[in-house]
Amino acid sequence: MALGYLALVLHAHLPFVRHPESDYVLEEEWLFEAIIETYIPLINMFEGLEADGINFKLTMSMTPPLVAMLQDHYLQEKFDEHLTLTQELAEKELDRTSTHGHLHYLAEYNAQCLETVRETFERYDGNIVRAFKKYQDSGNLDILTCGATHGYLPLMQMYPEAVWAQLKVAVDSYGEAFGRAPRGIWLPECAYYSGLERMLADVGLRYFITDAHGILYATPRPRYGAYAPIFTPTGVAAFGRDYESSQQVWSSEVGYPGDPVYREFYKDLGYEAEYEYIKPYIIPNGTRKNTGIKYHKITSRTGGLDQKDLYDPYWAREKAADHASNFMFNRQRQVEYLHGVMGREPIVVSPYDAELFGHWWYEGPWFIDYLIRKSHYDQGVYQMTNLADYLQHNPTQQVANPAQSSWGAKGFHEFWLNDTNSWVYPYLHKTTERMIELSKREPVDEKEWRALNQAAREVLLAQSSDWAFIMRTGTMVPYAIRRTRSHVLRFNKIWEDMNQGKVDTEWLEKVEYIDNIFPEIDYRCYRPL
Amino acid sequence: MSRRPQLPLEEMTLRQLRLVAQQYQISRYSRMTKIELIDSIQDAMRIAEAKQSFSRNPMEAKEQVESTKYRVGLGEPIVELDDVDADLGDLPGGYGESRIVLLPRDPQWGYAYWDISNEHKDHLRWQGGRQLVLRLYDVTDVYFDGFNAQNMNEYPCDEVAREWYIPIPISDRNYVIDIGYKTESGNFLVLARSASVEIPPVYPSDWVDDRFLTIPFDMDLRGKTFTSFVPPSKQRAAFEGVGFGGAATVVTGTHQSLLDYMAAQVAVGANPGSLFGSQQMVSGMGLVGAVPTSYSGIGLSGIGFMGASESFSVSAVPVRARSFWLVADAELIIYGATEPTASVTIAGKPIKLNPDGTFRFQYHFPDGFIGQPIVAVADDGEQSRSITMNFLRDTPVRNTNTKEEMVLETY
Repeated sequence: MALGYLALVLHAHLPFVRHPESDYVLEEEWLFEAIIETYIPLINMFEGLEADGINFKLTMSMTPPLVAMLQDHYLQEKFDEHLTLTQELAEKELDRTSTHGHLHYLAEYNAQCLETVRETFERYDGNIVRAFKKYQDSGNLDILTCGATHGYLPLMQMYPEAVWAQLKVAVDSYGEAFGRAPRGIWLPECAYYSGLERMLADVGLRYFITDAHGILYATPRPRYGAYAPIFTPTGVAAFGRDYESSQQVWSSEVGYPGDPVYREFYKDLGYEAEYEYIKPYIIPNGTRKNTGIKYHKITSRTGGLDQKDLYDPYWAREKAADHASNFMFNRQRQVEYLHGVMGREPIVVSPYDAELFGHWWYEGPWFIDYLIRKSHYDQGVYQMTNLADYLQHNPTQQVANPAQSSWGAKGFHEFWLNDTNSWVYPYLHKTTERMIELSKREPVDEKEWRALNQAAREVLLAQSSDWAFIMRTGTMVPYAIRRTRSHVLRFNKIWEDMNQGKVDTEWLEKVEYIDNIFPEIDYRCYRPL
Repeated sequence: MSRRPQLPLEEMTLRQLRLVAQQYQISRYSRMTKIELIDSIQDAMRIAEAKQSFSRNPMEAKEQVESTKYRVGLGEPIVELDDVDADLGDLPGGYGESRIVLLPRDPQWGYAYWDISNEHKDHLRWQGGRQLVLRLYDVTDVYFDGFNAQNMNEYPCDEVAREWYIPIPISDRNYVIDIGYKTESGNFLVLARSASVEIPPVYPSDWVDDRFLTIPFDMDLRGKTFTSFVPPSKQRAAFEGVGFGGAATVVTGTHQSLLDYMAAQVAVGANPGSLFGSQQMVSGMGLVGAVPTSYSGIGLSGIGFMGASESFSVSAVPVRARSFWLVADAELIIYGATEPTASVTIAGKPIKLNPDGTFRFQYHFPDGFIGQPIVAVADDGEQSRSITMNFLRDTPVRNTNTKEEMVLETY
């Protein structure tokens, strides 16, 4: 009889990046790399577990922008091209390495992995959302939704209509993709503020996740810390993240991903290969970039890039199995202890960015696979569950008000509100105010209806918290700035035109084609509550 | 950190490569061939990149890893403008309407930005405004009308600023910020006022009141409220039997053990979250006395502590519409008299008597508890009299709107 639960939560998210108007946009490759290294390996993992008769339980969030991109034909085609190009490079590598035993072994391994990606992609006809839907329908995956464009809700709390729109549009788009209403939501960055629970209840959602101190600092004080969810006064449940299991995975210094036998992220063929050879496979203007083909292992946590030895997937896999055992062992001790103190079954909630597994930590999906299998076969202290199942079977919980918090650095909003990115908020707020104004209108004809809806799309896209995040981390900043500016300016044009009673149809068509997220959006979701 | 070259290295001339090598402080670059230069520079670029990402700051370990999903290339390729944006101009510097917005950053800091037209500023300066100030009001549990804040902090600011980081006096409360001018006589002329914003807490709550509910997973939660709490600061023993929140629980071993368990994780740096929690895990005092309560049964069927605002959405065919309004509020008047030469304090604060020894004070009476001990001491300091009156206001039902806010309701 299990003493408690472990709920692994994978948050899969990328901002909406789609540029049919340009020949080549590097940022579209965020999606392609994530598909090859994270999403398809996860699907393969599900298929393997299913084939072996393991009734696995996992919680995943799939954000509306990610789902929109995965279902978009243009991006599916671009991905196909990208994959073809990468496979071509992998083929060439087979030739290039034919005289070097170890390298050739790795080249064959890489080519084989890419072929598996191709097969999986084609098995679902290019739309891998179908795979995730399949495993939700079978009861294994609990797929959460998220804010419509991953907007940072506490920093728009003074505009409840904007928060409502992020939730409503998300819930509607989820229904179209997955054929049912979502039950749970991954709040963007787990950022919560008091009052959100009213809207979550009213949009039909049942539970969400906060960082540990969102529960720990709740009022009144939760009896069980963050190891049982609490019901907010509106009945919506809040789960708290477990610190302990987080650190073992996130920390690059002491966590699993930094182990010397694992594949080195920074040593990529795109940078190592001879220029003329690699030129067709990097950025068209000649600048080098990641190709996803790598041959080296980390070798040492402190060594330089020129001191990396060759990788061996066999040993890496063994190590992933070890780490899974270790993780499992720690969870067992944790659950035993908590059960003793609580006098009831604890639930340890371990959420991570999905893209951590496979992309940053190449062996990550193997780790999860081993963890699920070992938890299933080798122990009985805890059972792995997803959040929906847990609530179904445990409907009695303490009532309390969670505390405003996020899972960002330092636990609050600073990462998204600081010198690098505070400049966006005056524009976002003004845009929001104007959208609320616009929403009160009734369109006189179809063109106005389209313009109003497009205005809503522009507001949502501008609100992606990813832009502020990128500005703060310092990687690919110009792109984030450009996106913020574009969407605010496009919105402003519609606003100004509408105030003069006109619609620039030719321009509108172009923008509708580019910013085509949420085709079924209804701008009236911005109307005052 | 040097700027990344615009051209790919392989396309550069020897001279250009040497310049870049210098930027990256590559030793003996002048003796290298083109190929060697390109290799060294690339290594240096990647080491710099990797170093930047392996930030020493353990608080940001998670964010550094998360940012790798955006890492597909080193250089920053030239960013082209979409032609749909071509004629749209630039972001405006301001919008011409005076406004100020307050954002929460963390328990200790807020952030405010404002946009005030010069005409508006000039107008108030002409009315006597001298020093631009920010006023931060604690409006927790208050229906703010400009004068009834629980507390107020004033920060002078300079004319050129458009934004400010505001130190927050007490966390876990609601604040409004005004920007305006102080006149020489100490009056305040307001330019703009922000909406009320909640600042997060930084400690676990001292208040312990365990209540448990059973809510079936399939229950539709739209429009429903399951309970309401009155925090201990708003209760007194005398009111325990009445209405809400009277039952409180002692901090049990369980509460404390779990708090300590999580504090221990925080102490060993396992916490990527709250910066403050580790130092300040308060051992809760709770309210002593009452028996731990726990309720079960479906929360909705009259257990007795049903939430005040419970509304069920009724789907009816809208036929007619009408609108209505009601506003109501309360004020408290304290009045009395004593020897004109006495010193009087109310709730510890000295007050000024009228010449005939009378006094009369009228306050806004918000939700919550007001305790008003009044003490009068004779001018020789030898005799005194006192009276203490306590008031508790609660608003169990609020279904109001002003006339301006009326909306059509169907029926």
